[in-house]
Amino acid sequence: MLIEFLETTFFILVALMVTYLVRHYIFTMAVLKKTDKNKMDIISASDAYQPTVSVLIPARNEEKVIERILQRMTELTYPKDKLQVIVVDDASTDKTGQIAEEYSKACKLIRVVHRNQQEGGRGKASALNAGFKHAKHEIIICFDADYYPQRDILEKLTREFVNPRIGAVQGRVIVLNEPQNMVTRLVALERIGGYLVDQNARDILGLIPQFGGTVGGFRYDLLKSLGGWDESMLAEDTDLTFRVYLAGYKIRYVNEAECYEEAVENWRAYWKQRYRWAKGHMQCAIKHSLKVLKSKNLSLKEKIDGLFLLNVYFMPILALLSWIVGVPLLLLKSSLLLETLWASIPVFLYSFVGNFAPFFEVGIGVYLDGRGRAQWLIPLMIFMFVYNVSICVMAFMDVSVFKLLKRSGNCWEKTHHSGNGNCYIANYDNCLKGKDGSESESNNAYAVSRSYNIHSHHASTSNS
Amino acid sequence: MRMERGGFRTDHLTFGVLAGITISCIIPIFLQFGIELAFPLLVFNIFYVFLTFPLNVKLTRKLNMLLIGNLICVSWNQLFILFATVAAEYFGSFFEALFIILNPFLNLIWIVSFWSTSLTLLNASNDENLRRENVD
Repeated sequence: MLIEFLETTFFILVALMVTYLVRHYIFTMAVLKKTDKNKMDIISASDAYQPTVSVLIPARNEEKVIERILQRMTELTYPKDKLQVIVVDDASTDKTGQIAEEYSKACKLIRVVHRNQQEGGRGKASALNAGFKHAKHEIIICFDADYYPQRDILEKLTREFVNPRIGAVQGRVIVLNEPQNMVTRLVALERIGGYLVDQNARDILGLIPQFGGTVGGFRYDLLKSLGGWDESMLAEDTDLTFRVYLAGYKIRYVNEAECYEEAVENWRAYWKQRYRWAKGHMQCAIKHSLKVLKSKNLSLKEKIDGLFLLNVYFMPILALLSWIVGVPLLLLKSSLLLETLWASIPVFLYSFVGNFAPFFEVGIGVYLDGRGRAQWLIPLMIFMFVYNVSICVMAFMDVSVFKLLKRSGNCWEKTHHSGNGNCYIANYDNCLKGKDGSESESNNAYAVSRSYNIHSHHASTSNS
Repeated sequence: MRMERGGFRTDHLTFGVLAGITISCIIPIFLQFGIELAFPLLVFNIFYVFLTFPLNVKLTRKLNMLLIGNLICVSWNQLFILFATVAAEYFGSFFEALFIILNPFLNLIWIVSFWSTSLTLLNASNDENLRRENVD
């Protein structure tokens, strides 16, 4: 009886994980197939549509990084008369507000919204809502304070809104401080798999590309009708993604719209950030799973993908459960089928947790990106997964306990940014300047994190 | 012909599947392997063919890598099985159970490492082709 129960549980768990594996294989191959077509899309897409844009930048104690994004805002190629930049100084105790004010005085399009200690410090969603009250343009685009976008990113993002069915857009995130250490290098791999392959594939296949909380935006009217960001959610971005879809709109992922982030630099910061993501994602799964199933605005494939996406942070827990069930089962009863299923388990160990992207998805992403040397780090994904299992288990226990106690238990742990990414921007600026000191036309900041990579895909393709 | 990094090679994949099946059958039959060695060979070939052959890289390079991978697979597993057989003599059935549990994990360590290394090499060869075309 016990063996049968264990066997059934094991089969179900493995079947679930294999389904994810097949899903990601389809994603990988879809991106591989569509790479050439995407290049044509870029050329043919219309740049004529340029709606008015409000950029929101929430910032809390970001004195080390805020300057670079504000400088970047002044350098954007988007028509200045159609642009408004709102910096939300979320009760910072350092010089963030002061720096933002200086930029505001120098550049009219930048406006600073200060929040006092009573109002501020309640998380990103709260800060974004505060900024949203002051926004007055058709499109709302968000950037985190540690981000560094391309100069023409707004053109690339906003042109998708020419289609009235598109409610939101998402651009690509690339790690700026990738060469810094092993953590940043692995996070960079994770980002490549997550954006270049996963998000891209979901866009290509007409599934649910996810709004990632930054480097993306919404229609003002839609955001207003949805009531802005839900401050009770830790993963306010995933929550908004599903609210957009449930409202009958679509999200487009724009791979060419690149923005560079300062990734977490140590395991402790990684834990805090991923713990918040895991917990927030689980909250979203509880909140939206049933709504997604019942929705008339979602097609069948969107419903299936939505459920996969919502429940992705439960997968490491299920993987752990499959080992716990599988080992005694193998010891008690050995059969060829069981051993075959057991042999499939290690594959899941080589996965990133944010999207359960297996090693091959990351590998092909790195290959498509022309990043030969980064592939050497793929075997190290196993350590990241084991680390993430404990993060997800803790988050799950936390969510379950607070659900049982009917308390929110949300505490926004802000990710600390050291400003170490600034030196890579300095390298990048030097790269862009020609021998005569003039700046080249290219605004592709690929070189920022990849100046060490002599086989840059973009460099080679632009030369050709 | 201009080499592009993107693109899906269905023809290469078909050829790869045939090559993978052939190798997976021939090696165990000729070398008279048991299931414990034939199985990892099959797993490697499935992985490698479906993950590498659709890439837009020269077919001969991919075939060479497939053959090298099979050689490593045979050597690794032969050695490991020999070690396991000796260890089982000393430690008894406990080690046999441990072998069943750990073997897939240990096999995937080299499979993932080999795959990522071969992807790096294939990438480098593609870059070389791109550079030559640019010079021309």
